[in-house]
Amino acid sequence: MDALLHSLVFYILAFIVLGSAAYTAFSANLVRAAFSLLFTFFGLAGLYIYLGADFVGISQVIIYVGGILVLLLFGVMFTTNVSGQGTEKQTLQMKWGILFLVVLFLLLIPIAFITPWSVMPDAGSKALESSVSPIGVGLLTKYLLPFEIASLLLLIALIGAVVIARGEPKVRAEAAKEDTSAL
Amino acid sequence: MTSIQIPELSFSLIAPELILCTAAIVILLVDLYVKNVERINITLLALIGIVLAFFSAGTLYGASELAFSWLIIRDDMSVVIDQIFLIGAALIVLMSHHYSERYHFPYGEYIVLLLFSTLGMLIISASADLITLFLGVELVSITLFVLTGFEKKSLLSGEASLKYLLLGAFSSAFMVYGIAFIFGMCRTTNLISIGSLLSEDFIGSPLLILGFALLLVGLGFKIALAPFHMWAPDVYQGAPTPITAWIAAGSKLAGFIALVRVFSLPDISFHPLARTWVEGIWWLSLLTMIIGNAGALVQKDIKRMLAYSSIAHGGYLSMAFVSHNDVGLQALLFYLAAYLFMTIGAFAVVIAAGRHGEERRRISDFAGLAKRRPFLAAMMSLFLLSLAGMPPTAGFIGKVWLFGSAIQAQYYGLAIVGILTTLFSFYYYLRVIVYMYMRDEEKEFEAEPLSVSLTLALSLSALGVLILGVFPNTLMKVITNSVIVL
Repeated sequence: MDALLHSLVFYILAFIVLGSAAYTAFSANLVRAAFSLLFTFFGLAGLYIYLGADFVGISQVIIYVGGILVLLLFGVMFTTNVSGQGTEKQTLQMKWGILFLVVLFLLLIPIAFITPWSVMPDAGSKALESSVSPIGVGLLTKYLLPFEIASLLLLIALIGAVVIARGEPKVRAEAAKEDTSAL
Repeated sequence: MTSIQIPELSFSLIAPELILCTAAIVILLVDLYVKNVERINITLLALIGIVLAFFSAGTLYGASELAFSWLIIRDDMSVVIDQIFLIGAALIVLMSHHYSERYHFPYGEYIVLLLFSTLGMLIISASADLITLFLGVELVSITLFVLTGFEKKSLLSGEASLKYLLLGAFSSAFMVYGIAFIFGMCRTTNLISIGSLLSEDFIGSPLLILGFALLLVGLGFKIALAPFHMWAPDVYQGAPTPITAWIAAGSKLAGFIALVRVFSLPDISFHPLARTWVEGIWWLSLLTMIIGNAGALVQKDIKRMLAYSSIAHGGYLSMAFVSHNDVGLQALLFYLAAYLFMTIGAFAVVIAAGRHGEERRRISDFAGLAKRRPFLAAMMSLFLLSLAGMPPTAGFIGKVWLFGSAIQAQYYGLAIVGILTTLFSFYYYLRVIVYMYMRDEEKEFEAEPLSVSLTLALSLSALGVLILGVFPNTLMKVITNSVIVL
């Protein structure tokens, strides 16, 4: 009964993720595609929590649903006609794409079955503990250095975004200087 | 509530990284708070940071330690490589000083990003864990995406940046996917622990092979191995020339070092995995040598030609992984150092030969350069001959050593293909020299006087190429020692 319930939860979540992802990929309407992505992200968060990774699940909701998806929707609404018109789209290299997918599928499926998965001995029977505090402690002890490097990564991403997005005030100032000197 | 044990933090072992990071942040703040800061001051600050990092790395010779809970490995190899990276970074800063004056970049941010990309390379060379390795690779990639797009007025630069970003993100996804599989199988991301696990069991586990293969594909994109090289010519052509040089030299070096770490730190040479891995690289190396050299033959743009030449060099360099012995690794390190000097030098000449709005881009633009700028033509010839592998340059010694390692490991076919493609490569390298010395110029290029910084960069690269070519023993000794310690 327990096992049945487990599989039921898994398959429902997996269906939500796959179905909404497929809708995102095939829908001609960008707004609908973006909204459908919402269900993909939520389904994934559900899967993470189902697997006992509660912190990852919550981060998924905060970052992807709360941040990235909202940004994406803003982007879509700014750039396209929101009145429901489909955007023009084209599928290139259909043949090669299908071939690639089939090969990948045929490669991954047998591997999933052959691989001797390492299973935790008493998984399932044990009550799951929150993973938040071990992750927090880990980030400040064992993984302190990567944590700091990641902060540098965010810093350069910030600088990079500013450099790309802003105009060129210095150039204008120097060009103006050149103009006056030419006079 | 359990008490938290703070592990030992051995900051002295990552001194070069810390110094470089500090220098970058100081420049960022100076650029922000000091009004109208002179560009020369930023350059000097960057150079001071790089030189200090270089010497602090020098003090770390002989340390063979794992630090930061096994995330960082500080061995002699990482020190040698750090120093090579730092020399390269200094040359690029010198070139950038000249180039940014020509095109009015926001110089502070430019140098900061350049230093952070160097920092990423240092992190890669000292990684003993897939997490630090991945973060290092990302640090290098993301800074380079931005730097590629710095020439805002040029459409090519924007296009290059976008292409680089999309393919770079794609390749990072491959890497993470591979790392996830490896972690799933081994339950650790530490390369040394993975090595000891592999020696016990998981023999030939397909998921593990898939994981390593995906990692190889991801890194293959970064170092532009065929068939993952498609982005390289466009990106090299569009990026600002100093950044092209840095992508060609620094980022390629970093990718190779990442490969060295991933595939030699766990020491899987006895493992069945090694067979699959060597076979995979064998094909990649072969394809890369052929496609790179064939592509370079038909190029008309000098930067595209150098891009294909750099792809071809990726093929020669990956031969070291096929031979999979100590000699191969030593040859790889030596050739990477030699390659850094000759590539940066060649791009420095490309910068010096042009002026604002009038770059010599096509190979035919170099016609008659010898009459007008004999020094530049001589320099260019030196770097091209070294790239082709003529004695007495560094390129010759490096190639002999590399091909020798393949022959020693009895991969005769690969060595022969390497030698044949090298012969082909003489055609397109010599063509530029023929243009410079034997053709009259079609179009007049107004000369721009050589700046001090560019002269310095050119002569240092030339010195590097010649010293490594004539007295290779100095570096050879250091490299041989460092690989033994490994």
